[in-house]
Amino acid sequence: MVRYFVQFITILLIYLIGNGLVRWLDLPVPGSIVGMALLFLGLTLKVCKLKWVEAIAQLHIKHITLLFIPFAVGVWHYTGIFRIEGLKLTAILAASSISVLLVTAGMAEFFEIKTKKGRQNGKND
Amino acid sequence: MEKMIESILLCTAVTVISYLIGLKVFKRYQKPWLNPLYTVTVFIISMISLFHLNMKDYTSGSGVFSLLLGTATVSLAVPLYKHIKLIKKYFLVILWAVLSGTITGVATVVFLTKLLHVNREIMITLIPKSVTAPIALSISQSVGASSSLTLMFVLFSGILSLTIGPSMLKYARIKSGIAKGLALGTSAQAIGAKRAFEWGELEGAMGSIAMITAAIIMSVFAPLILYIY
Repeated sequence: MVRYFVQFITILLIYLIGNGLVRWLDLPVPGSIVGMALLFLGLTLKVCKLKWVEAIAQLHIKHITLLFIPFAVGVWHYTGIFRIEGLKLTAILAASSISVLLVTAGMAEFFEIKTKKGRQNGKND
Repeated sequence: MEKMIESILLCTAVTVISYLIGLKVFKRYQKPWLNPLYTVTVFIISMISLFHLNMKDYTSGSGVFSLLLGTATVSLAVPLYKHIKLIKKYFLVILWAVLSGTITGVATVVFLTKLLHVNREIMITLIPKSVTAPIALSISQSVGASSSLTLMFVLFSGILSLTIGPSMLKYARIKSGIAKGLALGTSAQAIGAKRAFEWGELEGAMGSIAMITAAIIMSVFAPLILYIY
């Protein structure tokens, strides 16, 4: 319990530093993302040890659905939009999601084929 | 001030207690539709309507959850760090594919909302739709869109990509495991990454990396797009 508390304070501090940096430098990015980047850098550069934050990070991710509930309840205010624009929104979401899926897969496969060919050509030289 | 504290206490207590009960039910019966997100949301909405309570009293008290979404986003550095070896090894292909996918997502939303005459307010809510929910909510809040609507769009596009994604990839004759993992992680976020693990360790890891990379890219892009439009 104490361990979780100390780890939470650590993560919270990183989050607040992220928020502070965003405000100070007037960055257009959310503070939480800057915090994530800071923690990632800290872990990579071994400034922060994994065991200092691991347990609380896993707890957050395990119970992440809990954090969405108030926002999901808030959708109640917007039922009107679905009634008016529901069909259009469904079409946009479907078309866009499928494009994202196929473009990402296609580009990754294209990149792999290109680099593999490059490597093979290199071997032949 | 007193009203605010009351509201926060009410919202936090009701949500956490209902969630713990919902989670128990979910673990006991193991049905996907019993996911606490659905059951608890429906339960809370019904309670509010049944007792004619003010929805605002509940939603205005969600401050604790907004704060925890922030710390949850910071926490995502941990799974990302655990894949550091794979990230170093496949850095270019990850960046290239996820960047292309994310740009496609933004471009299709902007183009289709213009084409179908959907207003700008809804467009900015739609933009973070292919991003993992905690970060989509942060982006949504920071660009002044409706978090609730963004969450709905994220869940909808995630479930859609998860349902038809694997067969679409098969039709498109995508063979590379890296490509499949990246694609599902970029379009269906956490549930996509989980599904990618069924193909293999590498696919799953690529899914998680793609999910977080896409979110980072989007958090830079979304404000930029709003600046242009």
